[in-house]
Amino acid sequence: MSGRKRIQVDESEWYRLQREASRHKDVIRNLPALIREVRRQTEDDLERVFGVIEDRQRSVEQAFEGLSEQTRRLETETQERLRAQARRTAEELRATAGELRKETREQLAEQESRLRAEIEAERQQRRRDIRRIDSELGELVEDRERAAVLAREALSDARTLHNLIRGTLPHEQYAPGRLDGLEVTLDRAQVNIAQGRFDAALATAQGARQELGELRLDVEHRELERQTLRVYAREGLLLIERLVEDSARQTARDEKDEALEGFDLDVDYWTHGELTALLEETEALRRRVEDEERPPSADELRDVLRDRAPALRERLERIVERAGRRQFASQERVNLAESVVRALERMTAYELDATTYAGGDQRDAYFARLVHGNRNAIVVEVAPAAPDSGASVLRVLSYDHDTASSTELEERGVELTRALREHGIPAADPQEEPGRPDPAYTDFDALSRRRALPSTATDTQTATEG
Amino acid sequence: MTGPLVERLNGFRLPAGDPLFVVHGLGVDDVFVGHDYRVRGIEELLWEVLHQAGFSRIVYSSLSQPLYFRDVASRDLSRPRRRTAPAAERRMMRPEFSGPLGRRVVRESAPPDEGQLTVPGPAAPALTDQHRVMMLDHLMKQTEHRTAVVLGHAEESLRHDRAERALAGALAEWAQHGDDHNLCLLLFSRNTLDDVQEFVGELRGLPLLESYLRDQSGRSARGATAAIGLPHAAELERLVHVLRLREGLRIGDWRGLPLTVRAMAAAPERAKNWRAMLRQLVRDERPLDLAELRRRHWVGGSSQDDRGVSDRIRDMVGLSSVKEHLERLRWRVTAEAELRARGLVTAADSGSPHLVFTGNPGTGKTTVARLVGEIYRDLGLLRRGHLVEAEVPDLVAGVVGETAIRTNRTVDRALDGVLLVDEIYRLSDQQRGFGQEAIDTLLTRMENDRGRFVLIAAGYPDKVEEFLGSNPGLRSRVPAGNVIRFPDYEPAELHAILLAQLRAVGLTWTPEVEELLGEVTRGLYATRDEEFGNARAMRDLTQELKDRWAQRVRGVVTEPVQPADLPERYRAHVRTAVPDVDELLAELDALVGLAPVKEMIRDLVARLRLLRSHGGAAFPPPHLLFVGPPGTGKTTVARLVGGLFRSLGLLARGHLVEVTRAELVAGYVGQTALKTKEAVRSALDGVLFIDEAYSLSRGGHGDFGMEAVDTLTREMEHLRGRLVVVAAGYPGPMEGFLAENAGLRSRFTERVPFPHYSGPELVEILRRMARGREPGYELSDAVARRAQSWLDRERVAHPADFGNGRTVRVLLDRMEARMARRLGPDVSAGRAPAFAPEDVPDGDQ
Repeated sequence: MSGRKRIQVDESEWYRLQREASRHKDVIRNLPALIREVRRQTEDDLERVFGVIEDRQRSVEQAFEGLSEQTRRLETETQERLRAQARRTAEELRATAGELRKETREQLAEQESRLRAEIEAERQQRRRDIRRIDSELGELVEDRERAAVLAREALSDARTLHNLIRGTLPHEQYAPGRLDGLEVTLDRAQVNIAQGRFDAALATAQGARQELGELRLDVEHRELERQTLRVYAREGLLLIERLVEDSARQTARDEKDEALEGFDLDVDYWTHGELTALLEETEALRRRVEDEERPPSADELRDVLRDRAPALRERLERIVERAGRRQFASQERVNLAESVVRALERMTAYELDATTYAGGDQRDAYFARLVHGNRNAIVVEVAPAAPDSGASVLRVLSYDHDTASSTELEERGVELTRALREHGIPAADPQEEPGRPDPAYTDFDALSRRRALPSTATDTQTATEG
Repeated sequence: MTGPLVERLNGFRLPAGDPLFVVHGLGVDDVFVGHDYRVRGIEELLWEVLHQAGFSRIVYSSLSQPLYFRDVASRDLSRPRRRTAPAAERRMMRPEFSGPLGRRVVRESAPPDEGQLTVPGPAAPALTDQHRVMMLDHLMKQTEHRTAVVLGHAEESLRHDRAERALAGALAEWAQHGDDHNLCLLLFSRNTLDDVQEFVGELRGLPLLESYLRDQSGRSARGATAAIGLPHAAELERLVHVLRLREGLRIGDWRGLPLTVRAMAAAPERAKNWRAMLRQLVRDERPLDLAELRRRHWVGGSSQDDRGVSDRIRDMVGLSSVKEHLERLRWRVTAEAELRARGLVTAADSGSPHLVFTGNPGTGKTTVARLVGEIYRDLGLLRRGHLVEAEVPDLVAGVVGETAIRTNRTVDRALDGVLLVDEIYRLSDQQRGFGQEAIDTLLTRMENDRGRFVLIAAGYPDKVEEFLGSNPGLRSRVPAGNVIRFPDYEPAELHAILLAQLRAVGLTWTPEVEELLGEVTRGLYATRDEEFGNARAMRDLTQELKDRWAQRVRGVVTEPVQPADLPERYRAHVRTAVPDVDELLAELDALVGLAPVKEMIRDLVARLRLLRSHGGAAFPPPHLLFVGPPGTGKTTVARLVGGLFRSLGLLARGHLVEVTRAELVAGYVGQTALKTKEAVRSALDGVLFIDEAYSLSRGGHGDFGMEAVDTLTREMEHLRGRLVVVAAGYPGPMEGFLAENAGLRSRFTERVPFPHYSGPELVEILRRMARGREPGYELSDAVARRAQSWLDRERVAHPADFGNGRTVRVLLDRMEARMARRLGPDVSAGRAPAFAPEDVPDGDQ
């Protein structure tokens, strides 16, 4: 004779559908307040980043005062195009700020290629301009005097540009050592001038000037690109942070995905702290993106944008969805326990006298105790079967003092299964578990306090299988 | 309130000290109309009884409703934890249950198919039988609250309970260890305790309950059992009023209402059936009165039944002695009832109501038994007064133990009415003492159910007497004053009954037919035996007459019945005029001698004619002793006498059956009586001729001949008027034989001597015999003289065995042979030859 009956109850139809649907479902909602906040932050960010760019460009323009006529004209034109480009980019960013895009990757690629095309066009334009200027100059270098003047002019322009780059642009980040190399070239041109080798000095100074101009353009472009990526990345991470914070406590949803007022879903609780971990990870990543000391490279940012942020977001969705399902499964366990108790009360005339979650923890097994006038008792346990399977293990533990025979207990299990099935609950045939039920299960005070139980359904299963 | 709520519960007592209480009867499924005019079901009724008796918790259980209550207190005592009724909110759990989503039910149960009609959801699982038993067991065993468990529809529970073993065990335990604290009521809709017992026995799984029941039925006051029967008139009257006040039933005849409800109470219907029937009246907008109930065949009885008892007694045909007896019975019972009502009777038993009716079939016993029931009912001695007719097979079974059950069941059917047991003495013929078992059971029930039924034992008078004589227990319960004898109907009564029946079947008849039927009834009466059907025989005759008449008239039904319609077998009873004596005796006169016989016949005819001329009836024909030597014509005369008696109307057939010892006596005990009776039957309505009757007593001691004589004596008495026994033989032995059998001798009223023929008589016989041969011979005087001297010589030579007529036949044969020898082979075919004197032999050759 055994007073232990184990009945496996499969996941409910609803649970199965939910589980399947969640793969294609965005559990994160586009909440206007959240979007507004992220937009505001992005705007601030843009303001700051492009403010810096603007400031620099202004100081660049001031530095242009020291340039020769021709070079100033050339650089000023370039500078205007750069400013226009930066403004355009800023506008674009501002316009899309806070939009939660699925297609980040594609958009990013498109934006990059557009930027590159613009840069390439810009570069070509400069080269054309320089060739034009050079050809104009070529006619003038006939005499030595003239050459000396030009060489000194070119060297001065180059020095100005060199100082400009050194003073305003993060050149080491994008072209490390290049500026220093050019300085050597300029020094050589200086020596040549001093030694009166004006032709050589002119050629050297002119080459360096051109290279410095291209370097400036390149660094400006790269900086713009990086800053753009950084804004994007930060926005993305911020959004995830906000989403995480927002998802942490949400209104519980019913089986029809409608909000259940008055019932919260504490995602962190139901996922055993997964949400907190996610938030911490996201914050760390954002801090890395924001790092000014050791700013992240464009590639790093690209990686964040393309892979890491989406992955975090994906994780968030899974966590939220899992929390919802676990909460739902917990409710289902109580429902099942109630159905079982209802059936048992009708079948046996025992009466319910206590219910509790194991250790008072809703994530754990649910217990209900029925008693008979003759002191007989039945304890019903509904435990989760495998993690997140949606299935439950129902155990009926009989504590009979008198008449219960094995056939009686058997019938009790069979009748119960039948009753559950009649109510649409996919209950498997009852299985007998060896041994007598542990009296510890009848002590509901202890049960509701203690977390470690003498044995659980899962343990028993392992034991039986082993 | 004092006294039970309804009359049906009079005598209903909860057992003292018995833990099981078996309640059974047709009323168990019924509704009850209490003195307070409230209509209750059995559960409600029992609730009140139990509640009054101090049971604080009353629990009901049946197979379909394993556990239920009729009051909140009982429920709360049984389910202490159920504080509130479960909220009927949809998709919400009970308050004790709460998950992360509160009491919400999230699990989708199977969604209903939209295209289909909504069907009720799956039935909630009922309390399983195992747990029902566990619960009942618990309730029965606890001592905190005095508890009564009412097990309704016990038949279903006991038969179909899936936890039969547990239930059997629990019942056994209660029965054995119960005290007077808690009580389990088992409600059986079986009518009787025996039915209940039989049912439980058939289940085979409840031996303890079985023996418990057996013990109960053995207890005289019926112990822990109670029967609830059908409603009494008073209760039905209340039902009528309830329906009148609440549902608009109209009363057609206020004055006749008591009679109406009495008739209702006499019908074997439950109150709930009456309620349904009366509602039908309301719907049909018909008032309630007896005629309406009769029209709908809801109550028994004919339209004449509303006559008073006296009228009904008076209107019976014939039966004057029965009527007197009934009147006497009636007034005795009336006085009895009145004395009782005034409280003047102190004796527990005021005379037995049981009766014995003795009489032949068709003498109105059943009719009167029914009337007795009604008299008793009208006087309040019986509640229903219905009649249950039982024969031996209704009481006796062929299996051990079955007889008591069968008898009890028959008595149960007759409760509150009359049990008429016809041919009750056949109980003593039953094998293996089963008849005695039935008698004992009857006696027990007469004792236990005193006042609940009246036994009327009926049958042939002497057999009933004999039977009662051998059953003193029965005899003591039926005092001599309660024996009513039903005489056969007199011919005139039979005639009246016959004519009434003819009238009833729509026939008319001529005065001639009426006269004719008078004769037939007289004849039937005269020739009646113990099988005679009296009124039943008249019914048969009516039917046969009608058949013949119908065949003759071929649809012309205005045609009256004619004498020709009388069936052949009744014609024997039609009396022709007493024929002229000379005419009658012509044939006898043709015989030689026999003066004493002739004289006797003449006397009979003269006597008959005298009686007839004064309107008297015929007398039974006498038995005759023919005493004389052989060959003196005794057989011949016996045959003639049969014909004569038939002509005189004294015998219906008048045929002759000739027997000797061989036909009457057999070789084994008991066979002789049968053989003799058979012979007698074959001679019924004719003549039984026993030659050498004294040979019956020939065997001496231990011979079965005596048995034949005794049987014969009895039969002669029984069949008086239907049979003439002629005993013939030599005078000497006959005298000795009759001296030994005085009973026999007294029955032979006529002794007819057959003396030896004288010489001339013998010659005359020879002459007639010769003339009678083919071809006829004439005797010349010479031949006659010679023949006489030969006969004289013979008589002298063999005085003891002289054959008289027979010797004459021998002589004629010899004469014929000698003549043939004399004439030789050349005999002409023309004229007949004549005897020559030498054809007579000379001496003894």
